[in-house]
Amino acid sequence: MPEESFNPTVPATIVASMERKKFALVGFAPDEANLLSSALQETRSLSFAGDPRETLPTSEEVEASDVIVVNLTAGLQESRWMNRNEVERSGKPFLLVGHQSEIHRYPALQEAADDLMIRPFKPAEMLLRCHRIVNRSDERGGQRAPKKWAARVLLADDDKSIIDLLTAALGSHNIECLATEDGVSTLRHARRMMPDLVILDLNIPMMNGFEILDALRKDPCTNAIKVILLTANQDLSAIMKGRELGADDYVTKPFSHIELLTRVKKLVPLPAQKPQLNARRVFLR
Amino acid sequence: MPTPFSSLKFLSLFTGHDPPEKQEQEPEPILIEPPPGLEKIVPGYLSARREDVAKMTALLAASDFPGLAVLGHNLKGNGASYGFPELTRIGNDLMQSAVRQDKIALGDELTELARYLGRVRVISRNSI
Repeated sequence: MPEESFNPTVPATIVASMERKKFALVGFAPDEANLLSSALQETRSLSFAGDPRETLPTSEEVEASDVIVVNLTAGLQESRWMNRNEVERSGKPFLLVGHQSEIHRYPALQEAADDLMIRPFKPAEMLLRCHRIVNRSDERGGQRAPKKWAARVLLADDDKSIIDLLTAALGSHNIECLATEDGVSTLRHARRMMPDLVILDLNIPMMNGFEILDALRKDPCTNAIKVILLTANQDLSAIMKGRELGADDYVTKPFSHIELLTRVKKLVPLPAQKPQLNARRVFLR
Repeated sequence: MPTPFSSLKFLSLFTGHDPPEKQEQEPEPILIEPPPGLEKIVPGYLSARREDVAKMTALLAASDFPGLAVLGHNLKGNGASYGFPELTRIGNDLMQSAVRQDKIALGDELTELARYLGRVRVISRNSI
């Protein structure tokens, strides 16, 4: 809960600049949403409240808002608001609210957020942070800052040469590549980073590719992540098993990186743009 | 055996063949043009495979067949992907010999791998 009601020491110029701005409050309990709404209404800003148990704005309300304020709460676990890509898809700047430990558990959301607000906080702090976000957003015509990367791909393979090759091929198309080399860390990072796509080697230590794929598909938070299986195994039954478990596509090693890139583009549409010269890869443990 | 020693000389202990330097003086280079877009990473790839020869030689000396099978399997998967189908073929042979625990065949295949890597040269599109 915010510590107190609206703090009148917020400069008048800021209060004035927030007039008629609209906020979508997501995942707040009704009493806290009411308190924040009262604070915002003192600036003649508007806020929305949806579901009486926890605020969940409709698409129309999101579209009409200037800032989305997302509160990390258990009630949002299976909602679109815990999915970085979904939040970014809304195209609206957003403020992420939560306790320090909660926010650290969702690094992908943390990274995507325009600003963070750590509990406990005062309504005035929310107003100041929103003001800053709105000002920056107004300079960009009401939209979020352009994404640095066109897409995010998690590469799961214990062969460093394959990781290097994939990073070179995908990185030149503005795709951020994160790499893991065992099954357990692949699953953990898929859940935390919410990539657009996982390129998954079947023969990876600790958990094989089928087990990882199965776990991804059974988890409501990750079941929409696209998966391409990468395997040296040309056995048709292995390919069929991957399909049955929900793989979106497969590539057998050795492979042409051009063919793989074509398959990636089919699953993760990329905006047409000038390729970047420097590929980046981050190894995850 | 005095140190330092070459992998090929060491492998000759397994294969019974003479080390290659006594058989051929200046082998013909094998010229390979990397797949477009991979030009920058191919030299590093080849360096890593040359290091693999030393690793696999040590694994063979230790009769670590599972370790050899993994490296053979990886070579099979990455060779042609980088534009070296010959490495994929040798990788497949190494993997199968490791599964059979055939030291003689592994020695021959490692010798073949070392020779290939010694001869292969990367050429750029501009130098053709």
